[in-house]
Amino acid sequence: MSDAASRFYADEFERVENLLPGAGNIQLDDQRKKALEDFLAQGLPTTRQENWKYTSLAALEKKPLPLIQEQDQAEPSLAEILEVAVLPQAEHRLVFVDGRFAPALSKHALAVGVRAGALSSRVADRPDEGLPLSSPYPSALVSLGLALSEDGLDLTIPSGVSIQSPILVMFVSASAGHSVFPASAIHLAEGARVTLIEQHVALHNEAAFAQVLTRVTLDQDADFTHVKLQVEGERTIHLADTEVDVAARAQYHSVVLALGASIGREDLRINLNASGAHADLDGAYLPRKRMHLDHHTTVRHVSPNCTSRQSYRGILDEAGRGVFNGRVVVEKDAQHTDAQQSNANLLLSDNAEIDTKPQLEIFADDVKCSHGATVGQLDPAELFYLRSRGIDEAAARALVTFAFAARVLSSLESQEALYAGLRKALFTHLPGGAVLEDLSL
Amino acid sequence: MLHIKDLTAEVDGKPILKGINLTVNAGEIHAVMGPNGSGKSTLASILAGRDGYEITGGSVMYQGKDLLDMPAEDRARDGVFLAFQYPVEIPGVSNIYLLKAAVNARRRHSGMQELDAMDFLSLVKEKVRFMEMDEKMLYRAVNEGFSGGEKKRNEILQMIMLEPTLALLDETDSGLDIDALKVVSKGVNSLRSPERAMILVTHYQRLLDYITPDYVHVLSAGRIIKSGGPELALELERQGYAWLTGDQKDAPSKGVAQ
Repeated sequence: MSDAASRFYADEFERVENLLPGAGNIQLDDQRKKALEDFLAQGLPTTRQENWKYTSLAALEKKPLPLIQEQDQAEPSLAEILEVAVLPQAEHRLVFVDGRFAPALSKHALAVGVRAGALSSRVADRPDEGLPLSSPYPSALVSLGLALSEDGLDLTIPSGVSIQSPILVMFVSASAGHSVFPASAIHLAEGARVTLIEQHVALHNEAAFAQVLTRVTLDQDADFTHVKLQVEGERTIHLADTEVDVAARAQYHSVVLALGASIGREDLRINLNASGAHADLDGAYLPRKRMHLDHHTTVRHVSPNCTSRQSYRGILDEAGRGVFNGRVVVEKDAQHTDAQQSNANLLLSDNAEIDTKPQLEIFADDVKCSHGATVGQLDPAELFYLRSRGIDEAAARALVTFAFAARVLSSLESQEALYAGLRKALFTHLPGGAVLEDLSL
Repeated sequence: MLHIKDLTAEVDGKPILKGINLTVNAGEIHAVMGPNGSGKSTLASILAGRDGYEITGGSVMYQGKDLLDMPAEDRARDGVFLAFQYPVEIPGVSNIYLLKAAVNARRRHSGMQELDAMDFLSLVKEKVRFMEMDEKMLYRAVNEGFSGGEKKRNEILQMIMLEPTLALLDETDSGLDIDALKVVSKGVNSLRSPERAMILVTHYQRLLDYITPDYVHVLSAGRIIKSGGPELALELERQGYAWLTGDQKDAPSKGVAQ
């Protein structure tokens, strides 16, 4: 392997490998080494690869950033954290600062048997189990994350436990100029139910890199609502890889809002492994300035009688660029699959760009699948209608734009505080959004 | 209140209005009738400030101000209201939100205090009952999935909430069954007052059975070719527009004649 970034991360690995949780355990050390080798063999993805055709990591290649050293770690106050939290009133809050669990900023009152905390503790306590993060589809970035991850969320909800109040997990970038590799393992046992809000936020606008790894396992009849709010800084590169295994009759609801970062990339893979499994994916991306936001989803229908629905919406302003690649795979045994996908985009500027590509790969013969993509501008008829009711042009534009984006939140309407927090996050990142605050939306 | 003088306008280089002269005083209801393509909806749209029309001549003064100089939202705040022929669906924006934003924009502009949530809600509920509508529609997206009749009722609901000084009703009767027509007319009639003026743009006499105008004007090929009292509308109903325009296609069709 010759590229500079690969060498850089190989050196970083050498520097930190003995400091990683559970280091010294042969199995664990081996798992990490193998992951690093796998990364080195592949290198960072390039635009020559079909999956990365529209998203260049040249900036990362040119200037890789080191992992943070203990002595450099910033210690934000609770007030600073709550100020940027999407749900400051959350009963259960787990905060990771620069990739490491911050117990002093966290609190929770979860039922006995629920495990919610730092993955580093679990790995250090039980290194023989290895990192519970492996994937049947390891990409270079997944391998890099696996090798270098120091910490992340460890969440296990036992069978039959339903958690009423949402859990907020914050990944906060407090120190500029570093790489973080948060990796999280989430397991809902049979019939368990919870809403998790995963917020990635920076307290600075300097360069930073986050490679986020999340593994979700839903046992049968589990019900998991997974909200991801990406509000990173203007110069952060945020790459995330989420893989979800869904068992019989279990439900996975995903709402992803990509509102920050200079380059943001979400890889979301859902495997519907047994009959009756369901996935609902909603997403919105709002690139402006020179932001680049990319969403790649893969929904794999492995078993019969599974359903999936995807709706992604883009609002692209200034020189913002968006990519949507939605892949639905229906394997040969997956009869009676019902899969829908849609991607709608609003282009607000001549310099904005969207590349959208739905992809259906169907190997079963008795299935119902649909997909569609649209690209449009604000509708002058809608704008005139609002103006003719006394709403000024700027507010009318903001309102129509907001309404377009906010539809991805409709499944959360019943969770009032969360819904309000996410709507606010959305309109503060929208062109002209400040006007909407005046209208007390 | 409204003085239209020698107004000419075109769309995509094609003249639509060819010299309109019309004066509307406070307290009056004017019906503007005419065959399809005569320019009557264009006139309503231009008065409300819709883009896409080139004003090539003439003037429109409203309460002493040059109406054509004002952006659409300022006209609305100053009391001009257009009930749309084809009300627009706005997914994601609820009716109640739009009503509140509209009412408060008008109140702010007139130096009145904004209505608080409670006062607003009780007012809007009263008006919804008056328009014989379902309260649930308040929380639905603006016009989304509404039937033709529901959309027209919704226009009149907005109108009676906003209490305009000059109301323009563009083909409000089209697509309404008789019950909806009665409710819509009730809404319109409830706004009749000496301070307020209305222009009803309509193809048929039908609406005028419920809302009696003070004046009727016939628009044809971009000009007002005849003006009169309510009896003129009845005459048109009997004879069709051909009697005035001399065009055979404007003769009454079987479906229209009563």
